Amino acid sequence: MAPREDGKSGASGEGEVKTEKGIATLSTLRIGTKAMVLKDGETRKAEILSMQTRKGQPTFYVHYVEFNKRLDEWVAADRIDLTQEVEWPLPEKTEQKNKQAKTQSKNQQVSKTDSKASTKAGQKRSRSGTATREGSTAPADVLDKLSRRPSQTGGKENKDPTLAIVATEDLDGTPQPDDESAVDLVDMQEAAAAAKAVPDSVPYSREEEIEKLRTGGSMTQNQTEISRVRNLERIQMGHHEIEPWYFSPYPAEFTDCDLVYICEFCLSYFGSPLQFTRHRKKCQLLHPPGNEIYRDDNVSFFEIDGRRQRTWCRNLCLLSKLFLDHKTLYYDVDPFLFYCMTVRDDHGHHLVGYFSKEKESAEGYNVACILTLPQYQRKGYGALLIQFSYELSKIEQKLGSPEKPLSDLGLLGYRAYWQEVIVDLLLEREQEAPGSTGSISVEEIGTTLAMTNADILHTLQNLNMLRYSNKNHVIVLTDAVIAVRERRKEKVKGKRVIDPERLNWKPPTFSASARTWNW
Amino acid sequence: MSTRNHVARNVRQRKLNTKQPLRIIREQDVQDAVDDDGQRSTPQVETGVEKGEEGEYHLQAVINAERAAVLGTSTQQSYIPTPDAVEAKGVKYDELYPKAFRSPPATYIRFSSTVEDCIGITYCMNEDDAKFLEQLNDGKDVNGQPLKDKSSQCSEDTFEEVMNFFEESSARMQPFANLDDAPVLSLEEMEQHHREEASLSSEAQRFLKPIYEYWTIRKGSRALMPTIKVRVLDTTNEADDADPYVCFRRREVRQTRKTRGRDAQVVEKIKKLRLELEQARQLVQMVREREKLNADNLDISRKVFEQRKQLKDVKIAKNIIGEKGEDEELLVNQKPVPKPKARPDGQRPPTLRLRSGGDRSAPDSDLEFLSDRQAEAEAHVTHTIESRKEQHRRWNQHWEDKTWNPLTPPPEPDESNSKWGSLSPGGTGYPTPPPSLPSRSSQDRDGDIDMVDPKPLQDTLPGAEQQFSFFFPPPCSVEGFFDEDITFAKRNGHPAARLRRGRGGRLHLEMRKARPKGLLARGVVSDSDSDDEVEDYFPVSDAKTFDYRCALNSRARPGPDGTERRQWPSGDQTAMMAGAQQPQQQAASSAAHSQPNPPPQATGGSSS
Repeated sequence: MAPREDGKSGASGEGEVKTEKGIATLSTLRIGTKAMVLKDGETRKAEILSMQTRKGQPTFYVHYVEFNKRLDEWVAADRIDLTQEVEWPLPEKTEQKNKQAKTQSKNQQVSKTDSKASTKAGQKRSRSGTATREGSTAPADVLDKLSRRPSQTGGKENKDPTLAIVATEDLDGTPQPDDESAVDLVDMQEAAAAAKAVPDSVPYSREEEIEKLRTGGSMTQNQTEISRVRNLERIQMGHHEIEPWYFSPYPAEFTDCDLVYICEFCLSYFGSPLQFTRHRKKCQLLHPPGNEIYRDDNVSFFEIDGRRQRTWCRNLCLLSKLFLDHKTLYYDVDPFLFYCMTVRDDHGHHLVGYFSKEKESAEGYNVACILTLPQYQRKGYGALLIQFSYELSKIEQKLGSPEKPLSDLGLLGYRAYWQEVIVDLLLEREQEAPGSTGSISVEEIGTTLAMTNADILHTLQNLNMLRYSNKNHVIVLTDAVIAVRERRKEKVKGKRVIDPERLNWKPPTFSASARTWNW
Repeated sequence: MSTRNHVARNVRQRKLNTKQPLRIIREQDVQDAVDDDGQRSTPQVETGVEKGEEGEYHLQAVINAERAAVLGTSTQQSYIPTPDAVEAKGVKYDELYPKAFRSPPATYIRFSSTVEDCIGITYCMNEDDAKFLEQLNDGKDVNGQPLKDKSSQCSEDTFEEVMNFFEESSARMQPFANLDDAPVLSLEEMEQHHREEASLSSEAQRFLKPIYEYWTIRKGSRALMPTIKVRVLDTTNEADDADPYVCFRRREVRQTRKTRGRDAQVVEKIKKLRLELEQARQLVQMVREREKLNADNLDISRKVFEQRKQLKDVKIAKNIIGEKGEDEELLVNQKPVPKPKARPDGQRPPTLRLRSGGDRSAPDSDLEFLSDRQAEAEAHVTHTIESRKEQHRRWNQHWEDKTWNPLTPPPEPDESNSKWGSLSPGGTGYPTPPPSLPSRSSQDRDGDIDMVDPKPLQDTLPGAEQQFSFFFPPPCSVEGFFDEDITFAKRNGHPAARLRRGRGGRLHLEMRKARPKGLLARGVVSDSDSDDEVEDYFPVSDAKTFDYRCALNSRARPGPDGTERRQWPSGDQTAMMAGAQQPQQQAASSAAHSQPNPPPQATGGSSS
C-alpha cells in the first residue's frame, strides 16, 4: 500500500508526458484540472469533471483519483484547496489525431499520445450548446447532502495506469476557447470519459466493443460509455430514498428533478409526485411480471423474458444502471432472461435484487449483470442471488461464471460465495474419508458446484489453499479459512440459503429462428 | 497467472492437472515447509475486475484485509463505502401501495401480462394538469374564459384519458415531430383519428375540445410524459451513437451470406407462409359464415317459437280447447326440425307454463321422439341383458345344472347357496330393471293439464317398474331351477307368465315382466316399456293373480309417487342408479314377498 500521494507524485506516475502544474485561482479552474479537494477531513487529489454555477456559486463535480466513481460528487468551491498546485489538463495535441479517428472510426486503437486526452476533452467541453443543466438548477441543500457523503481517506496505491483514451467520441471542429459560465453537460460527460484513464491493455475500441455487445454480453469495458456525470440526484423507491451511483439514461428531463419516483412493482419512473401518485392508483402489478420459479419463507424468484416483458425489463435495466458502472444499455433487453428476487409482504413482492442472464452465452456466462438494490445491501441477499445463479447452472448441467468485468462489490461477493461453497465441499470430502485424506480434483469441484475451473483456481490461489507438497499439488484447508468459516457460522445462525428442492424450473429453450430474429 | 509464477519459481513443479484428484490436507499436515516460503506471498490472481478499477483504494483495502486474513495476520474489517440509501421520510406508503397481496396464491405465480396491460392509461397528470383540471371543472377554459358547457365535471381519469389520446395520436401521426418541428395536430385531425379508432369513452369525448386547447399549450416537441430515447434501428448515425441517453437499440438481424440457393429457399418459405396464412384466413372466414348461418337459424327458430307461443296464448285467451289433433296438426310442420324444437326446450325455465302448454300441444312429435328414445333405451336394455346373460353363462359354465333332472338329488345346500349367490343381483345390478325412460316421459307429461286421463297411470308407472324389479326375483328364487336364459328370453320378449310343470308333476306359475292386462287396466301395474309390445297373454289363475296384486300393492304404497318418480329421473341416471339401488330393492323385495312367496330360506330348502 502506498501512502497518499501528492499531486506531484501522481503526475509523475502518469508516465512519459509531463503534466503542467501551477497555482490556480477559482476562475482559472478548468474541466480536467486535477486539484486537491477536501474529502472527509483530508484533501485528496480529484479531477474536475464538470462545473456549474448554483445560486451564484461555482460548484464542481469531482472524481477522486483512486476512488470508485460512485463517490464522485458536487463540491462547493471552498472545498478545493487552491493553496496547493493543481495539474492542468494537457494541451490539446491529439486533436488532429482524433479528428482523423472520427472519420475512419473503424480501427480506433489506443493512441500513444492519448495521455493528453484529458486536456483535449477539457478544452472541447463547450463546443455545442445544449446545456441540460446550466446554472443554478440544483438547490444548495442537495449540494450539501452530496458533500456530506461518507468516505474514507488514506493511502492509495501508486498504480495510476498510464493515461490513455479510446478516442471514439465524435469530435467535431476545432477546440473553442473555454467558457466557464456555460458548460455543456454532454461535453462534461465526454470530458469525464476522456479524463478517465483507460489502460492500454484494454483491447477494445468502441466499435469493437459495440460489435461484441451486439452478439452477446451486457458489460462494457469502454470508459467512454460509462464515465459520466451522474444525472439523477436521488430516487425514491418504496420506503427508501437512494442516491444513485452512476449515470443511467433515464429521460433527460429528470436531470432537473430533485427526486425521481420509481414504482416498486412496475419500476416506472416519474419526475413529479402527483404523477407518481396517479400512477400508483392505476398500477396493478404486485410482483415482477413473470413466472415464479422459486419460493421459500423469505424470498421468491421470478423469471422474466426480456423479449416478452420489454418495458419492465428496460425499466429494471435503467434502475440497475444507476448502481452498475459497467452495465451498458446500448442494446435492447431481448437476449436476456431476468431472474428477480423478491420479498413478500401484504403489499406484494418487493424487488430486492436480480441477475440477468443471456439466453445463450457464447462465453458460458451464467450471469450477465447482478445487483442487490442498495436499500437491501449488506443483508446477505447478494449471496442468495449468486447461489441461485449456480443452482440454475446445476440444472442446466453447465459450468457457469459471471460476465466480466466484475465490479468491486461483485468481486467481493463472488469471492465470498466461492470460498464458502468450496471450503464446505472440501470439509465434506474430508469427513467422508475419515482416517485417510480425502481427495478431489478441480474438475470434480467444478461439476459439483457448477463452477468453472478458472474460478475455482482463482479462489484456491487467492486463499493460498493450492500448494505444492511432496511433488504434488495439494489443497490445504488452511486454519484461516476454517476460522473464517467458523466465524461465519457463528455470526449468522439462520443463514438464508436457496433450497434447490423448491426450485421449479426447466431451462427455457429457444429455437434457431428466435436466435436469428433477435430472440 | 500464478501457476506460471509457481512454475517459474519451482522449476520441477508439475503443471496442475484439473482432472487429477488433489489431496485435501490441513495446514499442520503441510510437509514442505520450504515451499511454503515461496508461496507465502499470495499469488496475484486475475480478479475479473476491470484493470482501471482494480487499484481503487477501497477495493484494495478490502482485498488486502482479506489477504491478511488468509495469511493469518491481522483481520481488520474493511468495506467499500457506497452512497446512502435511507428510509424515505414522509412517504405515505400504505396509501401508495395498498395491502393488496394479503392472500398470496398457494402455488407459484404464473404471469404473462405486460406492464402496459397493468398500468392502465399511461398518461399521469402532473401538478400543472391538476391546476387546469380544477379550472376546467370551475367552468373555465385554459385562458380563464367561461366555458359554454359547464354542466359536467371532468374526472381525473377522464382527463388523463383525453391527454393520453392526444399524446398517442400525435405520436402515431407525427412520429418524427421532434425532429422536424411539425405543426401541432389540429383538433379536427384529432377527432378524425378518434372516429377511426373509436377508442375514447363517451365521457372523454365531451372534453376533447377544452382539453385540446390546454394540450396545445403544454405540447412541446417532446412527449409530455418523459420517455427514454429508444431507437428502433441499430443505426450507425453517429449523433445517435454518442448520445448517452439513447439506449436499448435494436440489434441488427444477423446477416447471412446471400446465395442464389438461399434466395430461392427464402422465396419458397415465404410462398409457403403466404399459402398457410391464406388457408388460415379462409378457415376463419368459413367459420364466420357458418356462425352467421347458425345465428340466422336460431333467429328463425326463435320466431317460429314466438309464433307458436302467440298461437297458444290466443287459444288460451279464446278458450279454444279444440281437439287434440288440431293443435298437433298446427305444429306438425315443426316436427321434421328437431333442432329448433330442442332449442326452445332448453329455454324453458323463463316461460315454463306457457311453453309446456306448447310442448304438450304437440304430443305427436313428442311421442315420435319418445319412441326413438324408447327404442334406444330398449336396445340398451337388451344389450345389457345379453351381456349379463353371457356373463351368467360364463359363470355357470362349469356348473352342472342338476335341477333339470327331477330325480337327481338336489345339490349340497351350501353349494346351491353359492350358486344362488351368483345369480343374485348383488352389487352387479343384475337383473336390471328396464330403463326409466318411460318414467321420464311421464315426468314430462306430469305438468300437463290437458292429459287428465293418463295421469293415474303415470303416477303408478314408476312404482310399477320398481315393483317389477323386486317382483322379478321371487319366482326365480322359488322355482330356482329354471334356466336364466329362458328367464331372460321371456323377460326380454313377450310372455308375461306361464304355467310350467315342475318337479313331482306340480304346476308352477312363472310370472314375468309383462303383467296381466287386467292389472294394467286398473292402473295397479304398468310397464310402459311393454305396453305396446305385449301380445301374448297367458291367462293366469285368479289365486295367483291375487297374490301378485297383493305384492304389488303392498310395495306400491310405502313410496309416494313423488319420491318414487324422483328416483328415476332419466334413462341414463337410472342406469347409473340401478347398481346402487339394487341391493335395497333386493332387500325390500324379499321382505315384501315373504308373504305371497316362500321366503328365500325356503328356496334353498326346496332346491336342496
